[in-house]
Amino acid sequence: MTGPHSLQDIVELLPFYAIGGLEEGDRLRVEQALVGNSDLRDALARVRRERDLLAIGAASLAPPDRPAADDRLARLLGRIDAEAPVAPVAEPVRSTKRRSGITDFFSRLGSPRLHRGFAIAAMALIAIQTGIIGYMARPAAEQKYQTLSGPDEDVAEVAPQILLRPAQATRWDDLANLFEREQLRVVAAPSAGMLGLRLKEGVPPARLDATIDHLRQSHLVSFAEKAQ
Amino acid sequence: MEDLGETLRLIAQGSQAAFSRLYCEQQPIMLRFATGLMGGHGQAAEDMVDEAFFEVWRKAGQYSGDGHPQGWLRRIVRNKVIDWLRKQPRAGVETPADDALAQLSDESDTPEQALEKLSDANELRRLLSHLTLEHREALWLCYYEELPLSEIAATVECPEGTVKTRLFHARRALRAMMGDQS
Repeated sequence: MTGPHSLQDIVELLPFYAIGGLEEGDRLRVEQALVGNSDLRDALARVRRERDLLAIGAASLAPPDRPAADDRLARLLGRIDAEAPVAPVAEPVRSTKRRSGITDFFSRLGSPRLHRGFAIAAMALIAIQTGIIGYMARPAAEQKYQTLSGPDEDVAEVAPQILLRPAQATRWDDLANLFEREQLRVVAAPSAGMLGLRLKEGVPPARLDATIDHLRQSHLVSFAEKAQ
Repeated sequence: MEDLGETLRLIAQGSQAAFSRLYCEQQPIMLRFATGLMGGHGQAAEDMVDEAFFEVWRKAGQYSGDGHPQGWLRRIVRNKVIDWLRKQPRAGVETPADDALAQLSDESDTPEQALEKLSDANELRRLLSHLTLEHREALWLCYYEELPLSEIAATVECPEGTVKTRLFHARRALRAMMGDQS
């Protein structure tokens, strides 16, 4: 039997049942209650009607505006560059936590003498590690000195080969599928809604021109050009 | 394409490309969410969402990996919207649903006709603006975004029971505004 308290509970679950948003247990509870209760079935029908109408009205409240969003992205990236020339990285946070962990560890040791002993041992360990790392990281005789302005394989590796502007109202999922088909990966969004792309690893560079032609033929793309 | 959690990890490492991907993929979803919470105000909603994404850039490293990453994004957007609502002239003065009834309900409307009004964006905007933020949010996340109960509870950071009750009262307020007392 469905008592007054649980009936109210079922009524409150109906909207979630209507959208398929309930866990198995609650879903079964609602279905069992619906079987013998026509009032509940009417309530469910009303929920569905409300939901349908709300969805229709809501869709026109905030239609995705792709070109505007692209301009906004460009402005956001400009803000990011202006406010944080050096991008935040996760590593410093982790290293801070690690330092904090070491500090906590030592601070929790009871005896100051023991504390000093551990500290000396830790410093010796760090000195040994530094020596090993230094040895491993020493430049090879044939290694060239690299500067940011000079030829740099790592930089070339992530530099875009193609600049692309998506067509208006293009959905990101469709664009992502196109990139997947053409074996492209997004490496940058330089400015004004332009995406920077590269051929995926292993794709012959000779494919670049043909790929650009394909992109230009796609209705999802308003502009595609070889990056300089 | 990596999942959202992975994208946030890359952003935490300073990847603007990952940030751009996240923006392209999630901005329309977050914009709809913000617009729903704000009961329209499209331009302001866009600004709030951008502010939220800027915060994502700064705080992506704080995403712990617990819970759905989109829920984490929504919470940032939600907090921005709440800040915005507090700064509005009518901040904290939500019009009770009963008062709104006089403005919105037409005596000649049948419940059916009144319900039809919901399909009109302007009418919907007016109706939503007369609900409290919590009611608007529950209604929007369930009916429009079709998020499961557990995910809504995580997004609004309250128990599932509270979400159910809020939605119940939101629906009742909507019906009251539309003159359907059944």
